Amino acid sequence: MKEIILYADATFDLKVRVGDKIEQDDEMGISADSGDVLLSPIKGTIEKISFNPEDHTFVIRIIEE
Amino acid sequence: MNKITRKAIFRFFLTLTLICLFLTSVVFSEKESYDYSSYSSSNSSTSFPLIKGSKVKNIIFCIGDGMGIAQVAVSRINAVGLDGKLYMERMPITGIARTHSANNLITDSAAAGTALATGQKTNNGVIAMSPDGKNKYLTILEASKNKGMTTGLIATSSITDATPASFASHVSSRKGQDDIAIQLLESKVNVLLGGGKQFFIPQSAQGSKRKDNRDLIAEAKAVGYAFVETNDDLKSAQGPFLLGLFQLDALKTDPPEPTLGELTDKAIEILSKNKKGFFLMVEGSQIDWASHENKLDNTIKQTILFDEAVGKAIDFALKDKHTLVIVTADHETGGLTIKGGDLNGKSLDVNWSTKGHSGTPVPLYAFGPNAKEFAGVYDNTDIPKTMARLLKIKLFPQTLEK
Repeated sequence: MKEIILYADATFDLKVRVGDKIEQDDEMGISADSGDVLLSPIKGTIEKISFNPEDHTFVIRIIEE
Repeated sequence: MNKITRKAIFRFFLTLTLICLFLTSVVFSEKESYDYSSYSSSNSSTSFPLIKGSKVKNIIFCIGDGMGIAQVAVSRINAVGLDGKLYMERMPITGIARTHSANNLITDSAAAGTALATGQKTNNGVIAMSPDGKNKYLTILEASKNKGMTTGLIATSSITDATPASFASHVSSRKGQDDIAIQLLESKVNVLLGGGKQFFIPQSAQGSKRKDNRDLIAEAKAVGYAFVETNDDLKSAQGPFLLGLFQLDALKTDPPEPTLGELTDKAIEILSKNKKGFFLMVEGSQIDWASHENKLDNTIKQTILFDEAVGKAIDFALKDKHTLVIVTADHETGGLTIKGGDLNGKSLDVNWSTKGHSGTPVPLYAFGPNAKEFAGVYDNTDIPKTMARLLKIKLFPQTLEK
């Protein structure tokens, strides 16, 4: 089972919550790296979201279906 | 099964259920409650007086990161009751501040810190520089220092985090915390207290987040800073330069660390020796973090720890009569609202509308000489401009060459 970690800028709300089923290219939030809209690269389930204060980011873990 | 046996089984399970409910409530209250007894016994609901006829010599600028009016309200209800008041709520002058950044309705702490420190807007992520990252903005701390005042920064985050960084460094990205650490020391801020030791130790040292082998603690000592990393060392530390880094990353905000109130007390003790006055910024950094996680209990704890520091600032200002204390937030986090609850504050039903920041304006509280200048609705950039005017600092705001 493939697992993907994404980083979103915590300034802005997330479009997903833990347990959500998502499709590839679904909007997740704002990318912490580029400032662009963060899209899911895979179809799967949001397994965990945690806040990382040091980088002021949300760490999103997706399990591929 | 006869009637007596059924009754006995029923009684056994009833007793077991009651015991479980009792134990659950004890565990829940121990886990969820924070001890406010010493805090609430030292506070009252009486407003602090207006200070008239004296000039502003010192400024203590307290910033609750992510602290909206609802964060203040839930903390009040929980810690001192519905009709009580936090220290900040006892300040006689109140206002409202808008928080948007140069490029977004929703600001981050870098752009908001820049607005509060420099009187100018910038883009999210930028620290005390123009939106294009080409020009530095003069900060109120730097302008105060140029005037001969002593200066200090305190945070419960890393001292290199966005809000404290905005007052004494200039970088195009808040991510450059190892560079910010260098700039904080080069700025010769008298007192730097918080977390973030990982950005001050060489990359060869365990836990370092530096990208070079500079030992900034050794460099700080070489230019006259006393260095402390425990509460005991802090108590005996002397100025005029003090660097206190109590964790590799952010403070734990639990014993044996010094509290934000104790850090504020120490900073005031050192900075107030200067006859020309001082400027001190105190940040309750982790109200934001608790609100990002939508954790009510920790939001209340962090707000009360921040308010204790506000109380220390007011204690000094009441005696001094020449100290202006300003309390505000850089932005609200979590979109917190109170939906319901009982009148004694034992249970609060709240709603968090976002995991991120909101664009809701934030409260502003003022105490001390000329505090009335802060009554009303303002942009966050107006706050340091008014401070500069009261300190008779000319040419503020000011854009500097790179």
